[in-house]
Amino acid sequence: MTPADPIDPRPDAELAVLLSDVEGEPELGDPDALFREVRMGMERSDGNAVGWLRSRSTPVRRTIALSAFLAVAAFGLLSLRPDIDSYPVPRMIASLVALAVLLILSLHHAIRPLHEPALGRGTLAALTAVALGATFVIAAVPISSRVDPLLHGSWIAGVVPCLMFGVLVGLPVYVVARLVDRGSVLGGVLAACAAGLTANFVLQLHCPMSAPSHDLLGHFGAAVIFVGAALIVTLIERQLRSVR
Amino acid sequence: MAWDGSSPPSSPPVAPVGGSLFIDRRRDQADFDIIAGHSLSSAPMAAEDPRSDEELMRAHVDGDPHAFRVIFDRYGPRLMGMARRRLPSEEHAREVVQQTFTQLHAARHDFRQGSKLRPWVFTIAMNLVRGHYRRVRRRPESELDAERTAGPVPEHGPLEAQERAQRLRQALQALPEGQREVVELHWFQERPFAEVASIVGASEGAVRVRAHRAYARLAELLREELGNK
Repeated sequence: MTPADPIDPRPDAELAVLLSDVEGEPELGDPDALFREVRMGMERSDGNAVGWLRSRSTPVRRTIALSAFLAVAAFGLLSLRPDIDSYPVPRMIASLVALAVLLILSLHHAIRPLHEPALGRGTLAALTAVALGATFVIAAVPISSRVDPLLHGSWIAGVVPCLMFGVLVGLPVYVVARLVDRGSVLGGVLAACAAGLTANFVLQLHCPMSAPSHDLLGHFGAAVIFVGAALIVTLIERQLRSVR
Repeated sequence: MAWDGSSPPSSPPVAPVGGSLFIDRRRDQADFDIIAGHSLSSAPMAAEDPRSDEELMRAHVDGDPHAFRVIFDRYGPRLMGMARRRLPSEEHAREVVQQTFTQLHAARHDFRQGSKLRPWVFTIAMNLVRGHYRRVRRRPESELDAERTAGPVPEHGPLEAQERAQRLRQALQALPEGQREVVELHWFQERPFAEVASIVGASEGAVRVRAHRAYARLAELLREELGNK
């Protein structure tokens, strides 16, 4: 057998004949029965609100998810942190812009059209790493003019409320992103990234504390909770399907 | 004559001695249909409907109750063939075919003027097949081997042809998934490389490289098989 041409790769004559041995379209069995199953799936999806949402066009679905974030972000804008006047403006703007851009990217990839190739695991891992990395950096870099409350032993008191608040404000974005998702296998992880980014966005606007020790546990921690939970759910779903 | 994949085949390949009944009849009709510009199907409903795939999809979006059945009849057999070659069981293949059409219906409002239906259908199906492999856990090698060889084998024709088809399936299963996808789309579905690239989400150059490696690897594997006879 001659080697294949890399510019115009094709099987040579001998291989083509062999490949022809497995060609031919198998019968569908009972095509009417299979189409009935398809019809039932279509009716199930059309018969409820979630199916209606998922059948909207991709731009509409992405807009719905983004609207959920904007609604939650509005809460943060309406309840600004008490020290907003003394908080460094460039840092605030840079943090919010970075979080918003990554959030839009996460939602964009979480809510994909079905007729496009699925997101690769490498791309998913990179996006997740960048999302978590950004929230980590924002939390970890101290504001030089502020004193870390860790030194005064008061930081831990605010961590749990911030964690709970972060999960509370991120949850609607996660839920809406999952509701409009048509069933992408890895969409849950990206939706969780978006939820974690939302949590950090609102906490950045709302939380009165600004210390790395507090922010890492209370703000970055919320993002870790979302992404960690999504990864665990994805693994469990895969295990359940593999034993089916 | 080997088909080069860059243009519709001008003549069907010669069937091997004692070859499978799967081969030439479908290809003859396939050649005519490609040249005539029709989608491939032997179903009466699909053959009678003069509308293009895109017209049918738009009709379905507009509420035509029969259009989707025509699309199903046109693409169902091809999808079943692809799924049977890629998946370990008939049940999994039927599930993929059923989910492909269900998801095609769910995505109907994304179908715009200028969209082409064929890449849509195959991309959705490929995504589902990839999702299947991501969910399957590692099983004992003997069990996995049994599943890999459980693909469709020609029911007619001499035993030697059936065994040859089985060995060829095993060789296809030995390819990495990316190369297997390209062979499936380029050879079995007769898609040009540009379309294959859009379906698998890679550049045309990368797809050509995968095809080159896949065909070279298949030739090597089958040379070993033939040498062991």
